[in-house]
Amino acid sequence: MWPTLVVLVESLDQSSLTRVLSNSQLRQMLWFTTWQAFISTIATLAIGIPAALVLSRYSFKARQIIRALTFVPFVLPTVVVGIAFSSLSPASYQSGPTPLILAHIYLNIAVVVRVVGSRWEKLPTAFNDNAALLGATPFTNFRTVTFPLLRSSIIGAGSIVFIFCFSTYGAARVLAGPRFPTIETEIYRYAFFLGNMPQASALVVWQLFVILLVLALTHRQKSISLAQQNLMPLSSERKTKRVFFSIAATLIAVGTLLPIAILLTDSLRSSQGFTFSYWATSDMWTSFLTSLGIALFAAMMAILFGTGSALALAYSTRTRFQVFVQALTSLPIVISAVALGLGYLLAFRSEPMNWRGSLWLVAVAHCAVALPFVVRIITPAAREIQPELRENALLLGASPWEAWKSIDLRILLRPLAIAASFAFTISLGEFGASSLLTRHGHETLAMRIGQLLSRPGEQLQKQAIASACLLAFSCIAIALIVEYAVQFNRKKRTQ
Amino acid sequence: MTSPFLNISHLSFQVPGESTSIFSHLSLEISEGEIVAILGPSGSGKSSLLRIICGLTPASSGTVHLQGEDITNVAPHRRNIGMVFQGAFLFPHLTVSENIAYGLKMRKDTKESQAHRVNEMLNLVHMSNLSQRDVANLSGGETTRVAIARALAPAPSLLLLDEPLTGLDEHLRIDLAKDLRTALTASRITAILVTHDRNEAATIADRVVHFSDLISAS
Repeated sequence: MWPTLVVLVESLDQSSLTRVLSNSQLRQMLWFTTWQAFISTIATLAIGIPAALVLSRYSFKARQIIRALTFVPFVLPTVVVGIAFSSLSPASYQSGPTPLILAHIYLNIAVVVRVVGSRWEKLPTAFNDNAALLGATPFTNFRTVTFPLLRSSIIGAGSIVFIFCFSTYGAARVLAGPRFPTIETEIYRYAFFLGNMPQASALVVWQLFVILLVLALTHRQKSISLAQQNLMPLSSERKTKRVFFSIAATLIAVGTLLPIAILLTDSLRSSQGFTFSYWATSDMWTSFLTSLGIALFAAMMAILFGTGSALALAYSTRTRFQVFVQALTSLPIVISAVALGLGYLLAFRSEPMNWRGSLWLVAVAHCAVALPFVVRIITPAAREIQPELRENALLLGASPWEAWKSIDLRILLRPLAIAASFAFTISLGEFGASSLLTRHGHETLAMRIGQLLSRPGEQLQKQAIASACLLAFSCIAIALIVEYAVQFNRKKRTQ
Repeated sequence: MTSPFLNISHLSFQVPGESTSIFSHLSLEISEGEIVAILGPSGSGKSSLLRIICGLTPASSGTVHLQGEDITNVAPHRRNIGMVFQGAFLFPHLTVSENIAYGLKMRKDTKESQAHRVNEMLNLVHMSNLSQRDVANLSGGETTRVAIARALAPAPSLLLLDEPLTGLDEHLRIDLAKDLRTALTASRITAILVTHDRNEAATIADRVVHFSDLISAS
């Protein structure tokens, strides 16, 4: 919270806030950031809602795998996705709004599939069956029954996607190009290249204003509670529906894997042919080790503080306290990663707390970025633990600590593992805060990618692509290992 | 000789990808205005039969004729068949009146005509005092009454009732069974009730048949 306050104070001291609106270039940048985020959100919803339908309405063989695949882009570092879409696009479209919007769709589909899909899974098919028997055509059925019952989740997912796209940094650095700066790239430029901290802080305040406005407009959507339903087997549906769903599921899988596959083939190809040389640079592996060390530290801190906050939210009965903890741990979502980095830079720039360039400050910033996700994964699981379980353990002779350890901690192990892996992958791919806090010679892998891309030459570009691949596969491997461990543990317990 | 109002002929149902059939060569004829109860144990395929008749599930083979017209491949929203599901499934985002009016809106009835018909249905199921209530705040019996009114409102050619009284307590079931019989006869509707309760079947229906008797030996 302190770094955020420092940013606010820095901007309020100056007349920089008004300068943003009087400067036509900055006004144009604000307008571009807003409309590209809006178009990205609409497009993500337009593709994500049918994808959610395919993956959450019927059960079929590959459903779980494809659903897990849709989550892959979400754990990929944005800078990696930026490079992948740059490689995918024809030469004349490698930068600008189009590849940026496409990358945003790819990055955020998982949000729509998860948020809207988990709501859709709870809609009994009998609602739609009833509507059909009462004369509703498939479109009217969606408009009058499905959409009103999904509305809260669609608006919720849309607001998250908009905030992510509005605060875009990694993908924008690679794809938007100098002609189309976004608010995040401008904050970075003013802070890092121009050293104009008041102007950078003023942009942070404008960004905060828009994000809070979106949250204010979209929060408190009335949602009717629905119980979990058993999915209908797709095999019992008409052939045309089965064929349509199979094609759509295949397209989702291919669309998810294609950018990564192209990235990999690109990293193994030079003008002379097949090569491993781009993977054999010592700098890449040094940066990778730095990233792993920082991610380990950041994940441990995020789990420590995140679990503490989640338990405080779950166990407390005082609403005001819950609101305070919720607001505090949500702050890093509202404050973008670059803004957070700027806050840390400003807060720790003078003696006796001049910690600029220290690796642990980077890890602390990564922890702050990951904290809201950790809290959101653990809190619902902690809230579901019935206090009677703990009370029974106490009556059976367990001490309060033993009761907590044997009941709560055992139940929370799965969400803790998922949260830890999530925090770890977020830190591995973190680019925004790192851009402002990393000192030369201690670059993380994501930072190294950014530096390589900003320099000309095929050799360096290919090294960036190989580094992006390494980062992508590390993130996917961590997510898969944790998923496998969780499934294995579950299977063992049900045998 | 006139053709039966509903004619189900040699209907078979097998879940795609599974080797065993749920039922094979099932035939049934129903006259106009008749209320038929089909008795059978759970899992015998009674609900699947209703879903096939209304078009929500495709049959593996066989035909369904309604009023002389082959409707085997007609989409559910074009069949004009109503159904009350086990569990009712009222639209949770609509009020009692809005639920009952849903089918009338789909038929593009005028607002006045909708309001008139909704009142008629509310009276029929003794729910006039709860027209504006949120459906989440209804009791089990009230929910069933609204589901029946909603299905009857657009005056379907045929009404299917899939164990509509399951889950209600004994006294309520007896009362509702009588009220349902009254509502169905007052509407002069042709109906099929699926149940495993003999008393319920006897109270509501004109004719009771056993599911196993509908399947021919061939």
